[in-house]
Amino acid sequence: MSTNGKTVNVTIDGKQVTVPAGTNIIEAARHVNTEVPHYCYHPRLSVVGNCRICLVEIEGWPKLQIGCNTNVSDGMTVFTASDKVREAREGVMELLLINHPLDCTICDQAGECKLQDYAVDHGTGLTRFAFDKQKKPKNVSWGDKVVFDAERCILCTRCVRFLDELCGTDEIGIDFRGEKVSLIVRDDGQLTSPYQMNIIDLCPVGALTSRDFRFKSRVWFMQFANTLCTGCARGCNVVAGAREERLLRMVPRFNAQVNDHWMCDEGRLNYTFVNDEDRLVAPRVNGKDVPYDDALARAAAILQKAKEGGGGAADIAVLGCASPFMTNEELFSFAGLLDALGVTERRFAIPMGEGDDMLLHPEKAPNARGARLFGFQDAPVDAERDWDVVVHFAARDGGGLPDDLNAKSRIVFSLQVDKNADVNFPLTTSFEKDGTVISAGDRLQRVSKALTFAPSHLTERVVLDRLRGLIEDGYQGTDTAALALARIAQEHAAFEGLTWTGIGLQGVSLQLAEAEVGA
Amino acid sequence: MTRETRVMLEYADDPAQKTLEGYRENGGYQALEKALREMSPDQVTAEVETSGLRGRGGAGFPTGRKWRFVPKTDKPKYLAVNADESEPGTCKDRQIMERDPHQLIEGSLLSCYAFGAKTAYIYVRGEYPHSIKALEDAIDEARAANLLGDKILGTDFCCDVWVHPGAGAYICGEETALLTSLEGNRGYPRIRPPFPAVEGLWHCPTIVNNVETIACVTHIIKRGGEWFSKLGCEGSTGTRLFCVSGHVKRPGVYEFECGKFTLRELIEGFCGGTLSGRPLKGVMPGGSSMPVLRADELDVTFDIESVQKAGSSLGSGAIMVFDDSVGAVGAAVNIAEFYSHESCGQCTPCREGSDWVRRMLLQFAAQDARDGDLDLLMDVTDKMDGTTICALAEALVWPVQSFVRKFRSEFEAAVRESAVGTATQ
Repeated sequence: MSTNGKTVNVTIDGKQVTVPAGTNIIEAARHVNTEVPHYCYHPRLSVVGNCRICLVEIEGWPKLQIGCNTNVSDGMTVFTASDKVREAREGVMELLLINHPLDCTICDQAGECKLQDYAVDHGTGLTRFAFDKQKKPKNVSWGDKVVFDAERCILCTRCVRFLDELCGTDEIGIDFRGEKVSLIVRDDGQLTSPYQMNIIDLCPVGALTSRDFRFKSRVWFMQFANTLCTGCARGCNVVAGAREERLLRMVPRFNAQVNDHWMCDEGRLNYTFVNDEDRLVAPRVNGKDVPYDDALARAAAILQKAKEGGGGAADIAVLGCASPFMTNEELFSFAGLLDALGVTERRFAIPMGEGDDMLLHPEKAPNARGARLFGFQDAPVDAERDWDVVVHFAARDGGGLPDDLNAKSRIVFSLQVDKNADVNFPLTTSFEKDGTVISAGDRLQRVSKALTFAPSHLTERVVLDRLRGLIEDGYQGTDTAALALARIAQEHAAFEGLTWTGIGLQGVSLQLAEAEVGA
Repeated sequence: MTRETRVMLEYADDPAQKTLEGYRENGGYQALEKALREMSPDQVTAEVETSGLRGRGGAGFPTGRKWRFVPKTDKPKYLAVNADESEPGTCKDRQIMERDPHQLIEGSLLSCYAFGAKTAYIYVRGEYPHSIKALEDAIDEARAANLLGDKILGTDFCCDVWVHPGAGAYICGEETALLTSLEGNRGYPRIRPPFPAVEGLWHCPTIVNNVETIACVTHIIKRGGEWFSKLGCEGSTGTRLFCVSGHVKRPGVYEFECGKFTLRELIEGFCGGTLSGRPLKGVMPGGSSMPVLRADELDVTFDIESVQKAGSSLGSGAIMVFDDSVGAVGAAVNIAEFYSHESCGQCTPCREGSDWVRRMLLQFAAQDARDGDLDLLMDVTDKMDGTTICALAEALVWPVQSFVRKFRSEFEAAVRESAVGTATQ
């Protein structure tokens, strides 16, 4: 779309609006908060105009035009809800449904289905079709991630175009002709693209369902949080859906600066550890569950001894090992605690994996940049040394510390029980807390709580702040991540002026010197 | 008086006309010589504009004006000759391709010269092996004689012509589906804009013209646009090929000047009336996709505008004649069966609607329809009309609706005699 900065004035349903030249009617209508219904149109896919539900009336044009393929021109007057348009839409709606199985009661898409939505908004609620519906293949496996139901499919070809135009794998084709048309997957019928699950989100109806999520929950029983995928440094924006404190799925959330409309399958399916049955839920001291106060007291005693011994000094060696899964607020609190102790040995490790030229980042953690910014070094721990105290945030893979590290006392935050820990605090996942991370491209983004971890659970940030309060007279932590962020903003130049609400749901770009965050 | 005026078919009965030697003996490739040596490309287009030539594929768009849509760009330009002659009742293009193929090749070269193309593809329906063979033989001969390829006739003009066989889908005769198919993809029509003249084959400017249209270009350049424009009548200049089929004594492909006779004179006079001698029931004057005209509507002058005013169209020039042994319901079923089978399935109204209409019509044919079904049939077809990507839905809707409107009593009788009876009251 080349606009050359030109704009045009159009009138849509009586409302005047100025939009860039080259804007189509569906997009122009969004400017006046009018939704022109559409199935096949998607802003990132080629325009094919096959669903015909976006027909609109244009003053002076004899025939109705499809909103997706008609660009507005200066002085154009568009009617998106005239009698003529309503009648045509009713017709298309009826035709879309005559062969549709109407099996909403057992369909996973129910509740977020454009056929349901538009049938209510634009249909008659009745059918005049008195014949047997077309029989087409159902429950077709397209591999281990996607399941296809040809009877529900409305042939919008969004999935076909996504894999062709954006992934370049061109895996889905169209078989047969006329009313018998159906989709097929080439070769052995199994999808291979590492981004294939996006077609489930793209599918406006229930034809493509996720093998992982299907039949787990009706969407209206779920609660949703606008958060991030933390599977790699990209920080794809997602909506995480949970029910009864179990995380059930992630779907991408639009962010033009980060992940556009998409996310990778690897990230999307990287959530089940949250629901693990063997999660550590209560603090433990010497292998026994204890109240938080007792655990805090024991940890504070260990740290106090270290502080008196000189912290990082040679006589008492203390190691602070952070994790790139921690939020900036946690890292800030951790760094503050280590400051209070005088600890200089601060490390973390980044789990590395495969990257690609789309979204996958080789750093398989969300916040290595934050860890560096708050003074932790991405460097190996001296395994030869005898450490007196280690404070360790264990990442999912155990992260960062050699198995045979010599340490007299260990304070460990972990997902599962750490048998070697003197004091073991439960670690929460990014879906169980609020905070910020610095994603690839130095973008500061928010993670938000999608579900509540154990009821009396104290987040790591609160634990760290309380520990500091126990060894540093008068120290007061903050109550919320937003307040913690405000404190960071006062102390770190890169965060100056930033607030929780200011970061918003889409994040902001930070101006960071490379020395601060590394490559 | 109805009589033939042969221009394109002038030498069709001469078996030697198929060969380059025979074609040249009858003045062949003189138009190409003339254009390449004496005329600028613009003059060729201007000559076609002067002739008043309108497309012969069905829509009747002025050919010269279409060529003018080709943008001035550095991109390659293409000519796609539509020889996917698949409209039921139509069999005119094959006469040109099989009996006088060189006039199509010459016309293709002239057209390419006019709008700056260097490649022409002739998309021939797969069911026409004889046409494909005749064209390929003619192309080989022409290429050997330097009428195709590099530096044609010693001039700077380089152009080649290729034959591409279709694979049996009616929809590939739709111009944009033809292009998608030529590109090697599933024959799906494309949304317009962009129109092919601006963005066609491989996103390059492409002119799609019917075989007969391109054949006319040869004669226009040979004998002048002025001469051509004086044949026929205003709005329907030149001569046109018509394929008369159905219940007539003298079916066949004929070449006429339009505007010189009425449809009744043509059928009852020239073609000798119905074969059986039974009363005439109706005529589809422009292929199976155009509305039917009843026997009492045939006193219409046979040209584009007059037939349009009478509520139908000359379409592809296929005149299908029915005597009174034909039932309107059965005819409508036949049409719906064809078009629903050929619907590509891309857009909703045609994919879902054409099969629904077919099944409703079968109910009428089985005398199994109910009160209200006729209104439903008309309403569903109304909603398919003008809401689709291409004209295939209308190719079903227009004739079916015309049969209902013009022979309504036969459809009503199918309801009355229905065993189902009324559903309510």
